[in-house]
Amino acid sequence: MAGVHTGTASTAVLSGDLALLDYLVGLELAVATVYGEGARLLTSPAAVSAAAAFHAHHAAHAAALVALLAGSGASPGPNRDLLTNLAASLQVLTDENAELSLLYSLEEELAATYEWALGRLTGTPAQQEAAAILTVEGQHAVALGTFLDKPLSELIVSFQGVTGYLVPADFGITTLG
Amino acid sequence: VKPLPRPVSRRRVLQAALLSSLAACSTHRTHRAAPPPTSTSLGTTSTTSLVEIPVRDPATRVDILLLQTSGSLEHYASGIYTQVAGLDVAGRTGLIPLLTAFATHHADHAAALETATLQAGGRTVTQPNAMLSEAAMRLLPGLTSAVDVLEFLYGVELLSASTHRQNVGLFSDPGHNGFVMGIGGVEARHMTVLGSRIAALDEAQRGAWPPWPASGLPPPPAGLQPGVGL
Repeated sequence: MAGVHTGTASTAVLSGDLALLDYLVGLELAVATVYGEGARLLTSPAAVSAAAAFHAHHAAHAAALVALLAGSGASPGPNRDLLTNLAASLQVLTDENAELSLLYSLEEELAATYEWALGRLTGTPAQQEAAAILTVEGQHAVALGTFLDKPLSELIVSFQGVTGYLVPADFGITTLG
Repeated sequence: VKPLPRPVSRRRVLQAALLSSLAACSTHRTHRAAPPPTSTSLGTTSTTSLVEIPVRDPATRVDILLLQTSGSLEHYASGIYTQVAGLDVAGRTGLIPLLTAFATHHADHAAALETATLQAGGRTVTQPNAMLSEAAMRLLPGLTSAVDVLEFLYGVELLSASTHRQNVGLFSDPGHNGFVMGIGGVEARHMTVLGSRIAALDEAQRGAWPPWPASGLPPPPAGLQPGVGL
C-alpha cells in the first residue's frame, strides 16, 4: 500500500502506518488552521479560552504524530483538500455559534477518524498515540457541544464509532481506503 | 522508508506475566469468602451466560485476560454509578439523570466485553471487579456533596479510560484495539462532563480534575493491571 500524498505537503512516497500517520498529521494541522482562522468569531470568555487550548492541542497532536514519522522523509503540512473543502463554510460564518458548530463537527469527525485508524494501524507506538489522541478529540467535542447546549445523549453515546470519519480518498489520499 | 519500531520482546514478557496472573486469579476466585455486589443486583442486566471454550493459544489467552479484566472493570463502573445514584446526595443535587445515563453506558460496555471475551474463546466475567468494589464500599459513606460524588466518579472514569488505553497494542487480535478504544473514548468523554461540573462548582479544583489534559495529550495510562480483582 503506497500513496503519493496530494492532500498534504509531504512529497515522500509512504506506505502502511507511515502513510496513515502522515494523513492524520495533515488533518491535525488543517484543523489547527481552522481554529486559528475562526478565533475572531468567538466572544464568550469560556469559548475563547477553550478554543485557544484546543488549537494548541491539535498542534501538539501533530507534533506527537510527526515524531513517529521520523526518518520516513515525510514533511506533512495542513491537509489542503480539507481546508479547500471548508473554505466556503468558513467564509459564511458570522457568529460564535456558527464557528462552534463547525469546530464541534470537525472534532467529532476527527474522533471517528482515529477510531477508524485504530483498525488499520499495525505498529504499537502508532496505535497507542492514536488511542491517546482519540480520547482528547472526543473531549473537545463534548466541551464544544456543551457550549452549543447539545443534549448529553447526543454528545455521548455508548460507543465511539467511525461514522463521519474523514475518508482519505475525499481529502487527497487515494490509497488508504 | 524506515519501519516503525515494534516492541516484540515486551509482548513476550507481558504474556508470561499474564499467564502467571491467570493462575493466581483462579485461586483468588475460588477462595473469595463473599461475592461483591453485582451489576445485576444493582439494577442492570447481564445478557450472557458462562460458557467455557478451550482457548487456542497463549496469545489468545492474553487477549482473553485483558478483555475479562476490562469487563470486570465495566461491571464495577456500572454498578457503582447505580449505587451512587441511589444515595441521598444524588437526589439532593440533581445528579441522578447523569449518573443513570453513564451507568447505562458502562453496562453496555460490560455486555460488549462479555461478547468479545466469548468470541475470543474465553469465559465471560459477569461480576464487578472485586478489588475495586471492596475499595469503593469504604468510600461511598463519605460522599456527602455533589463535588464528592463527581470527584469519586471522575476517578472511576480515569481508571477505566486508562485501562482501555493501556491495553491498546497488547492484543494479539488487532481488531480489539479499536474495540476497546470505542469504549475508552466514551469514558474520556465522561471525564469531560464530570470535570466540567466539578469546575463549575469549585473552580479551584479544575487542575485536579481536568475536563481535558492541559497539554492536549493524556499522561501515560495507569490502568488496572491485567487479572487484578478478577
